[in-house]
Amino acid sequence: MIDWLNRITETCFFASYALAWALELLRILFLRPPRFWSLVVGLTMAGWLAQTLFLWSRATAELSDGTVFASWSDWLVITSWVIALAYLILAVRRPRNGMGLFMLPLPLIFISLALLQGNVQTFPRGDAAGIWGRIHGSLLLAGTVAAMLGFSGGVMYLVQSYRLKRKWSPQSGLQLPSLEWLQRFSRETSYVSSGLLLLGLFAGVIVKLNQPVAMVAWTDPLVLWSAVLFLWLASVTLFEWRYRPARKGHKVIYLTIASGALLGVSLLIIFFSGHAGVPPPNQTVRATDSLPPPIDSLR
Amino acid sequence: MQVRVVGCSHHNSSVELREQLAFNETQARQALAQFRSQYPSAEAVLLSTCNRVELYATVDSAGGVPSAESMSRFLGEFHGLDAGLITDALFVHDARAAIYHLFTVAASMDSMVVGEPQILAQVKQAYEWSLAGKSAGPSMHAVFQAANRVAKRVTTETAIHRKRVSIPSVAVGDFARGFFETLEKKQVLVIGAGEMAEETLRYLIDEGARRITIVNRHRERSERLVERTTGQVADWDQLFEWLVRADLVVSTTGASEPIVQLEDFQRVAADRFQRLLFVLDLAVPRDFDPQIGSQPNVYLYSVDDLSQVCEQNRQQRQHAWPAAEKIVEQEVDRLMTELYHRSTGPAIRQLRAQADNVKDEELSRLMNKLRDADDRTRQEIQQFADRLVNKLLHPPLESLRDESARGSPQGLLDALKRLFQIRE
Repeated sequence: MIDWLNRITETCFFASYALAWALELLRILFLRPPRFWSLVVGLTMAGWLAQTLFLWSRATAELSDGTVFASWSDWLVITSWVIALAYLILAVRRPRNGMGLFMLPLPLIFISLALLQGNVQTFPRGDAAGIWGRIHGSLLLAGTVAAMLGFSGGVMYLVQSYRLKRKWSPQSGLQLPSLEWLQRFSRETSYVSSGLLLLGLFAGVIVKLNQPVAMVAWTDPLVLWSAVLFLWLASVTLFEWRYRPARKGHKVIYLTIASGALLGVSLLIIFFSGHAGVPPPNQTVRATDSLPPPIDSLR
Repeated sequence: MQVRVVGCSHHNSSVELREQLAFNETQARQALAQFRSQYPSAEAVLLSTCNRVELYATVDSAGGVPSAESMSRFLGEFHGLDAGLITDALFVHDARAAIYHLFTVAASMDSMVVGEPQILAQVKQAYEWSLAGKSAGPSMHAVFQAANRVAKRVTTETAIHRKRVSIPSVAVGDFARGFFETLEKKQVLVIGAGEMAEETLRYLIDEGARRITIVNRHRERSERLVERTTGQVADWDQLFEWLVRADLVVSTTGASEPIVQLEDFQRVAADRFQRLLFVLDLAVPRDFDPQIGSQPNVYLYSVDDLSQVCEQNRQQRQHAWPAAEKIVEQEVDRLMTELYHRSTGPAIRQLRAQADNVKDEELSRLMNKLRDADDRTRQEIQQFADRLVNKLLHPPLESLRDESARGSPQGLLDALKRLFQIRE
């Protein structure tokens, strides 16, 4: 059983999601009947189940080491897993809409990042900052999922608005939810993501303050970028709360998309600036590698 | 079973004639009872809508369905009309053609607006009235059951119903859904109280609109429209106040100049805080300055914009037509086969039984004479007799089946019964 589970790799569910996305594209281009929708959802469901088994297998294996989901790869796979689940729920509730076109690329991007990251760890094992670190990571993960969903909702809104401004029939070709729904979805995910990310960043500060030895300097570019993101999210929340038109129409969408894009930039900085974590324990550690991991980065 | 339909529709008769021949529920029930008493062996269904009045009759026995003339006369006399005047204005379809007609009607392929969904409900209702008055029996049940099946197949397997073709239906059914999840809590402002306003309003109400305000230069016209539909009336000078509150505007006045200019709207927009506004300007010339459409979160649609979509939808329906027609053909064949089995089955069974009896008697006689014959020879003789009977019966049965497929096997069936002395 376990051997069989170990054969499930990221490639399995990546391929499944990719195929589902391609079929969704075909469904829209060739106006396929509802049966085609079943194929898209079926493939996504298969991918999601494979991903669930993969994560369960990974958790079981890592439990013996005393650390579950300690790598960036794991966190990214979990993020993609939650987004895929959110897509499945929305797809089942709104079968006529082609939301997969905008939402399925998200799990694909996160799985690709996970594959690029390999086994880079978030925390060194036995780190005292583990509990706060996990709170920090969990909040940022949930915030990232919400922000990404809001981002895709925002893009869908702009596409739908563009089509309606040009008087294209919303019932032919690509069918998207109504502007009203997309606006509400974007606004709500924006609120949730802002809240979660702000709390997550705050937890990161606590983690840093609790460390006996400073692992990352306050002037580290990533810390500074995190501060910028923090200020942006706080400003957006305040702006939407105080300025009434910001809660309606395009403004809320632009803000949601900007938040998602800034978060995306943050993730890229984390992954490609060498701040992503410590090498796995079995890797040869050079003198320069003994630097502590960046715990107040976005996870 | 014999089937006949006599009636008129928007294809072959004027609206005046259809109005004269129309039946309301009470009249339809009375007419069916009357028809049943005049033709006790016939089953009948009376379909009466704005666009058609059709009387269907079926007969299961050999007595024969009432003649087309009798049925036309019946329709005319019920309304006190001169039968001679209306007979020429009515169409008549018999047998397969009658079933084909009913199927196209139920599938909304014969409707004025092809694909409109109400007709199936009207067909079902007509059958239910007939059933309640004991005017429909097993034959009608088979035919109308099949009609229902055809309509469902055409709906699910083709795109003929999916595309709307009238401007108000496209505006509300296609576009409004692109903006709003539901119209239930949306403020709808109707400017004008003419026919277009009323038709659009009816679609909006069907789609769930409840908060409706009608503004017209002549308040009494708005009040009359509210009486016929629903909503509240506001004065003309409150137009801009209601524009601030509105989520969806339908404008259909006969004004020669735009009634809402860009400058007017900009003042309104300041109080709307960029809330989404969907404006259906169905007036010609337009009621809203076209530049209003470029304002943020305002989506302004004119008749021309919607006409293009209507035309596209019409073309898409045309593409779906052959597929729908094929379904109707398939289902007509299927029903005809069922009816063939139903009407000819007992006679055919009897004929076969008689032939087998003769064969068995002759075989028995022959076998007694050929006592020395071995098993192989006996088997060959048995097979010869079977083949002979089958080959002799094949041509008449095939003719009977062909006749049934054309829908009128009764004459041939009677001939067959007399020729072979079949007594069921």
